[in-house]
Order: sequence, then structure tokens, then C-alpha cells
Amino acid sequence: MPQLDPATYASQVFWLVVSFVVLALILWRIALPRISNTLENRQQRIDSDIARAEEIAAEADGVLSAYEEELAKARSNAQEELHKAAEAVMAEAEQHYASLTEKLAADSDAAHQRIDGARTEAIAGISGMVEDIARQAVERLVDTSPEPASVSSAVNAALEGRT
Amino acid sequence: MASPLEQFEIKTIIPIEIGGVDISFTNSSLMMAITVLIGGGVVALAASRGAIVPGRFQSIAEMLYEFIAGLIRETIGAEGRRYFPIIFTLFMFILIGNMLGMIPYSFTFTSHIIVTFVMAFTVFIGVTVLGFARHGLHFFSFFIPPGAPLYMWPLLIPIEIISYLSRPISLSVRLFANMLAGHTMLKVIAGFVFALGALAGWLPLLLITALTGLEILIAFLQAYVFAILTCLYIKDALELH
Repeated sequence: MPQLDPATYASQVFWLVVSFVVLALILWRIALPRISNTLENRQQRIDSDIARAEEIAAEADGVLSAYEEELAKARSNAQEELHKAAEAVMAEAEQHYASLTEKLAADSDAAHQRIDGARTEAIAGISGMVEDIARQAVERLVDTSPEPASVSSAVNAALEGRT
Repeated sequence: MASPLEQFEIKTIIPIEIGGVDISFTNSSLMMAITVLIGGGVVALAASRGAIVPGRFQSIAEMLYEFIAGLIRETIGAEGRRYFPIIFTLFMFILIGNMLGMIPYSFTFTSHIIVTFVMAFTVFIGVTVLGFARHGLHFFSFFIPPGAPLYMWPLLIPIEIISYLSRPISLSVRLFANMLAGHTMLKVIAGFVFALGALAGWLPLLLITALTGLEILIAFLQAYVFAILTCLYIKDALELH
């Protein structure tokens, strides 16, 4: 059994000590500090990232609530605006209606006046015609031309009795 | 056919002799050097990038780091941070030595009792010195089981002392015997593959495949056991009971 050959012991122990010490020095002085640095950096990075994420989340919450507030305000503003616009339209319509009614009344008054004028004119026309007819009738019947004044007064009297 | 123990033969590569002592560079020394190269070089290189998001090698280095850090935290506690480098080195040295031994035609330096014994004995001496440095002569109270009645002391104290003194032996023999037995068994079964030939040789071949997986597990486990026992011994020395 090669394990029990003491002739190899010195060499094995010597190289064991040498290689173990070299490995220990490399790990202790170089490798392990690097790894622990890396791990620490990562932990710090993670911590700071989490803190930043929380900050941003809080900010987002603030923005959201501000947005909702703004939205509610805008909604109520719009409601008010709508109300106002409706009222204005109503008032305008009423005004239009009133002015239209007024104009119609004026128009109808004018029309009435025109009708009255026309009628008096027509009546005046009629009296002239009636005077002519009456004078000619009198000429034919009695062969004398009557006084135009007396004819017109007689016609006027007769017409006045009609109207 | 070659003996299954032939694989443990120490072969001189570069003969060196200082003061009549043969310290030749052998196949065992070569595997130790490769262990240093892999353990130190790869871990140092893998860790040198220090990336926030680690690559494959860096991940392995960090996993090993956190594995041993966790082991120390659980066994020794916060005080154990000081012993981290030495325990990490022990673990890496044994782990890589064991794993290299799994490569066919290589050599397992942990299968030699002298190597494991020197490591275990160094741990034993270190822990004892630590105990005395920490507690002075009060360290001897370690050998008195707490709560034991006075008349039991003459019986219990020798038992405790023997158990304490046998620590380096059990620690070294456990690793050495596991490596020796595993590799010998693999070699013997590999011999069956050739002996049975093409007809029935595939049966031991299947077995040897399964056993290789088991041996890799043992290679890891023994490194872990060595590290955890070292931690427990340090804890004993620090806290006595």
C-alpha cells in the first residue's frame, strides 16, 4: 500500500505545506477581498435601487392624486361651463323671441294702418266716382249741371250714413 | 492486471533532495499545484471583474464564498468571520483535490493518510492553541462534562481527553479512508468490466457509472465535512461548552 511508505512522506508534507500556504495567501489576500467587495457593492446597489424605487413610487402616487384632483376640478368646471352656456342660449332665445314678437306686433300695426289708409283712400275714390255718377245722373234727369259742392256734400252725407 | 492500489503510487517527476531529505516534485505535488492554480487562479480571476451582475465563473466563486460564509455563521457565529480565509482555503483545497482525483488517470492527493493527517493535525494544534490563548488554563475545564457529578469525574475526564486527542485521527482518517475506498472500489469494478468482457461487462460498467456520480458527491461531502468539523472545533475552543 503506497500510503504506508514513509519514504514519500517528506516530499508530500513539503509540497502540501507549500501549496496550501500559496493557496491560502492567494485566497486571503486577493480573491476573498474581491468577492466580498463585489458582494458589498451589489448589496449597496440593491439597497439604493430599492430606496430609489420607493421614492419614485411615492412620487407616482403624488402625481396620481394630483391628476385625480385636477380631473375632478376640470369636471366640475366643465359642468359649470355647460350650465352657463345653456343659460346663455336660453336667454338669447328668449330675447330673440321677444324681439320677434315685438317686430311682428309692429308689422301687424303697420299693416293695419296701411289697410286703414287704403280703405279711406278707397272710400275717397269712391266718393269722387259717386259724385261724377251723381252729377251725370242729375244732368240726364233734369238737364242741369248741379253745383259740384252741393253734389259732394250730398254724396258725403249719403256715404257717411253707410260707413 | 494491475493492482487497484497502483493508482495511489507516488511517482517522482522532478527529483529534489535537500539536506538528505527527499522532497521530489511528484504526481501528488503536481495535483497540489494544479489545485492551487484552479483554486487561487480561477477564483481570483472570476472575482476580479467584480460585476454587479455576475457571469458564470463569478457566480461559482460567489456561491462558494457565501456557502462557506453561511457555514461559519451557522456554526461559529459572528465571531467566526476571522477564521473565514483559513476555512475557505481548507475547503477549496480538499474540494478541488478530491474533484481532480475523479478525473481518470489523475491522482488524488487526499487519498494519502499523511496529507490528510498533516491537515487535521494542524487544525488540531491551531484549535488547541486558540483555546489556550482565549481561556488560559481554564481551557482544561473543557474536559469536565458540564453537570456531571463529582464522583463521575475520574471516569469522564479520561474519556473526554481521549475523545479530544482522537479528533485529528478521526478527521484525517475519515477523509483518507473515503477517498481510498471510493477509488479502490471504482478500480476493482472497472477490472470486472474487462474480466467479463463484451458479454456481461456492461453490467459493472453501469454500476461504475452510477458509482462515479456517488464518488463526486462524496468528494464534495468530505470537503464539506472537513470544513464543518473545523468550524465546530473552533467553536468549542472559543466557547468551551
